Amino acid sequence: MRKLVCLILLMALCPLGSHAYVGAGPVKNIYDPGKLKPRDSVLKVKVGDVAPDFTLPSLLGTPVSLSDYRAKRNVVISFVPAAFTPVCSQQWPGYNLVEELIRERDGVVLGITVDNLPALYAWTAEMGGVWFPVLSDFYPHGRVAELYGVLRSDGTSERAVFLIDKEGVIRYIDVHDINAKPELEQLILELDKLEK
Amino acid sequence: MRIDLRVLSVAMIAILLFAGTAFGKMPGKGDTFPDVELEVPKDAGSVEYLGLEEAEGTFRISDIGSNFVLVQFFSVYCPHCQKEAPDMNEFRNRIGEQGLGDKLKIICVGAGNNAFEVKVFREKYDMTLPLFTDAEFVLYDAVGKPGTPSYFLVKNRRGEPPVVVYSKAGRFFDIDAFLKELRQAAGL
Repeated sequence: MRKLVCLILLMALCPLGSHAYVGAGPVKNIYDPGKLKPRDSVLKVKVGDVAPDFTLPSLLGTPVSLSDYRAKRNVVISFVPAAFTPVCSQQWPGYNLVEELIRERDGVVLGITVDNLPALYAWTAEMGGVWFPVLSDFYPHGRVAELYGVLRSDGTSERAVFLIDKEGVIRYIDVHDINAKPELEQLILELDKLEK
Repeated sequence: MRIDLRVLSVAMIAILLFAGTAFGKMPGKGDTFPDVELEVPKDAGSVEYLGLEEAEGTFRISDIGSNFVLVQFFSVYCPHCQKEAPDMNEFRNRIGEQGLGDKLKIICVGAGNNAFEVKVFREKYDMTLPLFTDAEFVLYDAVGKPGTPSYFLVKNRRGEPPVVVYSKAGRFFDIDAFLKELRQAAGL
């Protein structure tokens, strides 16, 4: 009975998507685009494919290629729609939280958005920095997002996670509802399935 | 579908009770604080710290064995909460050093966070305080969805919902100044 009461309470008190700002509160300059179409693109790759290679400018000051990690690291590619938006401003601090868990699994994150480097610099600084390379898919606009089939019709990317093993093979894809965070626990479970 | 009238009435009463705070208003000084049920922590240290009589099931803030309870709302995803985590341990130590360990207890509630997320947070920052999940935002909504971190100092009244004596949205940066503010608000 208690569960049912809770359910009714939840339905009454928390309309879906009303918690976008939790955790992002102290990150002040947040633009809330409102609730978006959950998914607005068609994937061009699938699990088992060799991940298309790419090279993008990064906040490290040097370009980063996916192939830099071949035979060295399992790569978590995290496309997020845009800098300074609510959900993304929680998702990447979440990767900071599990930095050790990802490293222990020989993993690295590559964070990618279609924003330019100055915007990414300001945004990641406001989040207190991130430990992983942040890549700009700004020009030609969204080329890498388009390569993977996660570029939306408005020019932003999906909120998508691709897990690439050391052989360069795509092992897991989550094109997530753009309005919600992917589960960290799921990511760690998927990393556990790969050989170290 | 047959609707259970008892369930519906309990839910409606709860909605009315929370209505003042559920839509954006943080309870302030003198307001009652929602005395929701929380799961009794699994570790004996936290059960002892909170002075709980039962080592399993659920408890309410009004069951905690201290006159005052500081309720922190955090999120494992919030960069400020991550930065503040080590200070929370230090804050607990400072309370003990000032001889207030039995009078003021702290609980930390992870707004929207599930058990996995809270566990990772606890281990990463060696948190010594009891951390609770509020994965479905039940308590968080009931206090008006404040930013994280946020703090409510409540006066505990055994058998009755606690009363707020102090609230603060945002991180504290100075442990001693924050404790001084809390002592003044509580008259400790």
